[in-house]
Amino acid sequence: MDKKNSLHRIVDRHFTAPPGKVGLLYGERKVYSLATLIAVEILMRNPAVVIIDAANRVDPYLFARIARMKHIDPYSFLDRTYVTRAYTCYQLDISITDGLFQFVCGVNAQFVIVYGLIDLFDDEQVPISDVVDILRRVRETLRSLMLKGISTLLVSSTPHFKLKGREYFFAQLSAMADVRYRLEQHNFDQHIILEETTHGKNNTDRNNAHSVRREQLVTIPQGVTERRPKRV
Amino acid sequence: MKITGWLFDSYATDKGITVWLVDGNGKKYKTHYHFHPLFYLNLTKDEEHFLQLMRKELPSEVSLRRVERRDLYSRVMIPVLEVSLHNPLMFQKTVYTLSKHFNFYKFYGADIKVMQLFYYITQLFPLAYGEYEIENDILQHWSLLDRFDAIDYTIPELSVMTLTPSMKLFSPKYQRSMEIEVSIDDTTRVLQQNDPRELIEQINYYLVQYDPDIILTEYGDSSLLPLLSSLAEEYRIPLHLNRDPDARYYTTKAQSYFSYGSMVHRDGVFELAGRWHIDRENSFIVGEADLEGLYDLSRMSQIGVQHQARTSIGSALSSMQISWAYRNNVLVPYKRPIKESFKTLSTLLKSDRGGLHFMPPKGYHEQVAELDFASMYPTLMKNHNISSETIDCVCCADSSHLVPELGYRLCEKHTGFVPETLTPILEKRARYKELKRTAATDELKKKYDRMQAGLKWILVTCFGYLGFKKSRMGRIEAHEAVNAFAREGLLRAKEIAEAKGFTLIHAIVDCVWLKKKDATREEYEALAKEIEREVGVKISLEGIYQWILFPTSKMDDDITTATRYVGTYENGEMKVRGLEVRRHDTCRYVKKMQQEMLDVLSSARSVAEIKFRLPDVIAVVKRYIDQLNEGNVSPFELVIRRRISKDPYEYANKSINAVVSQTLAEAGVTLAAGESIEYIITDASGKKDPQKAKPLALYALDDGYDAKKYSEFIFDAAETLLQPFGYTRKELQKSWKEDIMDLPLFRQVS
Ligand SMILES: [Zn+2]
Repeated sequence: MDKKNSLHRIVDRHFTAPPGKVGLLYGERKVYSLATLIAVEILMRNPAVVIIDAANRVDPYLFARIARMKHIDPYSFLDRTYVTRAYTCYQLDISITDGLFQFVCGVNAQFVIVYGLIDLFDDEQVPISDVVDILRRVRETLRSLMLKGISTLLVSSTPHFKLKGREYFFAQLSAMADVRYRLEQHNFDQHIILEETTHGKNNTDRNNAHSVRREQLVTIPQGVTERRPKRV
Repeated sequence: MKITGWLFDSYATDKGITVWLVDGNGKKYKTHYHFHPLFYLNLTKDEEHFLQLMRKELPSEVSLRRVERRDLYSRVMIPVLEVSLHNPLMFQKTVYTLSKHFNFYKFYGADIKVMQLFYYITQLFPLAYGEYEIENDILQHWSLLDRFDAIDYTIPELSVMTLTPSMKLFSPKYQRSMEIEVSIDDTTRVLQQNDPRELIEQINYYLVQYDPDIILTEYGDSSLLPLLSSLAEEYRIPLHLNRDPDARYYTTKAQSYFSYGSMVHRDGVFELAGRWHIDRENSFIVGEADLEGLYDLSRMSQIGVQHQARTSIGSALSSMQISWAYRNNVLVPYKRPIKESFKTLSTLLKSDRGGLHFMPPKGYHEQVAELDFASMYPTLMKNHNISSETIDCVCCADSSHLVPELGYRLCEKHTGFVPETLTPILEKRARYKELKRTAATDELKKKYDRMQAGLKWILVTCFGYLGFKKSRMGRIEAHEAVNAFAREGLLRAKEIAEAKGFTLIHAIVDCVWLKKKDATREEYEALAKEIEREVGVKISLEGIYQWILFPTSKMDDDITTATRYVGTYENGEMKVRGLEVRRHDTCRYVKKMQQEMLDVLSSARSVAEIKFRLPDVIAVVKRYIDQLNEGNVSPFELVIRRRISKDPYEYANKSINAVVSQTLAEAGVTLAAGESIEYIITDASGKKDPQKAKPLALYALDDGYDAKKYSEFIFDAAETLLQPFGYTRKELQKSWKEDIMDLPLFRQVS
């Protein structure tokens, strides 16, 4: 398989008519670097991309590096990527459910990427009932965005919850998505596994249902803050 | 009956608040104040109707009232429902019950502690002096002759009884049995404790006989008082720690938690009613500013003295902000946060930077002056009106007051709550510093120094708190704005200095180090005045160093670390920052050695004179190494203190921390992540002794110590000062093995 295609495939899928899907990309740490590549891919086709970062993983330097690799002025990416950061699940909630649609339309974006949607729920200060409330509102908002033709990609590292009884939030996250992608890493090679496709809320995905593929992905650039052995 | 005196202690009961007053003769009065704590709900008509229907099912009877309160950000008055509770003890439960029916964003002020609400709503504060009117033990009303931010105020004479463990070398945690000492009026007695009953009767005797206002302890929270109260319970003897016989103790459990990237352990608390328990070992503020500083802070923050002693400095600031909100009829958000406005990644690159650093050139330098900005961050917040609600405010769309680099607008019409709460602290601290300078006696000097020290910590933490991501009223843009102004200020200072022919040697956040050949004090002072005029923050000449050393980083020979240096001023005073001798994780022996090296250097007036003294400095190192190798060092000097990041059995490795905490656990001392351990290294390699190190509490003299490992520490600390002259740790170590006379020093100098 042409390694370029697999990355495009994720983006393509979201851009096939009718517009408006919810995807979930998850896996180990590098998943956020992959998300950056996807964001860049979106920027190649769209005027803007909007990121809600609840994982503290947005890295402008990585955007700039990818731009340089593509011989593009880094600011053409940096100026068109809009970010808001959330440090509590309430901030995350408000970022998504309060005024997101207006903002997305204002900057002419069609794509929202949410980093670490469930990460902030692993907090003793946050009662489960609040989480349930927030997840319900978020789900409704994403659905209404979808109906308005705006796609969302939820990006999450494989969850390791400290608190007992909170693991099932991942299943809930998963249930929000029409399509799921799992990033698997072997010996610092990145594979993407198109793990499962459900026909959820969007019928256009029906044709692709239950396709499971393993594909070699483009090399993910080294994150600026990450320290890993270099690939040979 | 009218009492002229002070508010001493207060706590909630099911009918209101118990308030203890103390008059000028030291007489105490227990009074009751009818108080209904309250919170606000922003409900729709239907929801309000539903609330009316369910109010009978609530844990406390409530009164409902429609009122208008101001929204912090929009500044709009919004209609809300005020819910006041007849039973203060049911506050949390009532909020909990209601939160099952209404969205949590509809609540305001619903998680504030009842005691805090009492202070905010009445605007009383601990140790408030005034005329209090009582009728049948009921506090009716008062008129204060005092302000929470007053500088000159009186406090009542309070009697103190101290309770400490006799054995102070280790925390009681490590002690199988504990001997307790009682001190009153400079007399100390050891309590007999062959029989627990006897012990409790003795404590009771002192409590009744002396009726102290304050029980001052060491380890009272973690060990002493929990032990005494559990013994009392076991033997069914009432223990009179509380002055109020009807009240219970206020206790919490110890906990470990993650904060700012490291594991922190907090002891439980043991607070009393009608009398204060203050544990010196569990109070940052008492350690920094003593009881006077604690009282001062408690009055400002309106947090009860016992509670303020144990809580973080950040809580004091937060409390002052919330109190400001209640004074100004502003709604305090419950869970509703302030979201960060969307920004482009290009803006993020600019905004997400901290303070400015210029790396100092490594090695020794002469004739360098240090100029420090005073309280730079809080002053900038005050000067530029930086606050969560003043950035891109609703009222000043075309404000000309902009944040440098970032372009955020700042409000020109209303002072934000951050400047409002910081101003009295800044003014008060400036006044205390002034009083300290002009104090007639040493005792007064010390007193004002302690008072300013307490406030200093609020000013130091206020910046972090502003951006504290989880803080209720914090906002990330405010944090970024302060950083941007600080960077601008420092750059401006650099430009002004360079225009006048000074060279910038080094700068960190709010300090600059400058150099100009033969520049006088007067020149530097004139420069400081000019910078102050331009930047708007007071900057003063800290001193001119005859010499100053910026050691290289232990990680990389080519770079220096901004916060490590040592130097002597013209008056001979030495300033040391960040070196081994100042670090908490250095053992006493190494500290002593480095201090002796510095003592030798302290009389040097130039780098040439330092060179001249090198043989004497090396001699110090030699003496310390020899003593180590001869086995003559007291193990107590070799004790290393570290914080453990995990619970003992969570470690997967065999690090010293793991081994030591597990050995302790086996001996029955359980430590939690974030607590400290103390140990002596017996074999760092683990080859001869897999134990590697012995916990201090289990150490026996014949356990010995690892002389090689401690020598490495010595060479490391020596290298810090000697490296610019070519003596690296390796070089030192090598020469030592061969012959000390091979050191280049003995060939070149002398
Ligand atoms: Zn304004």
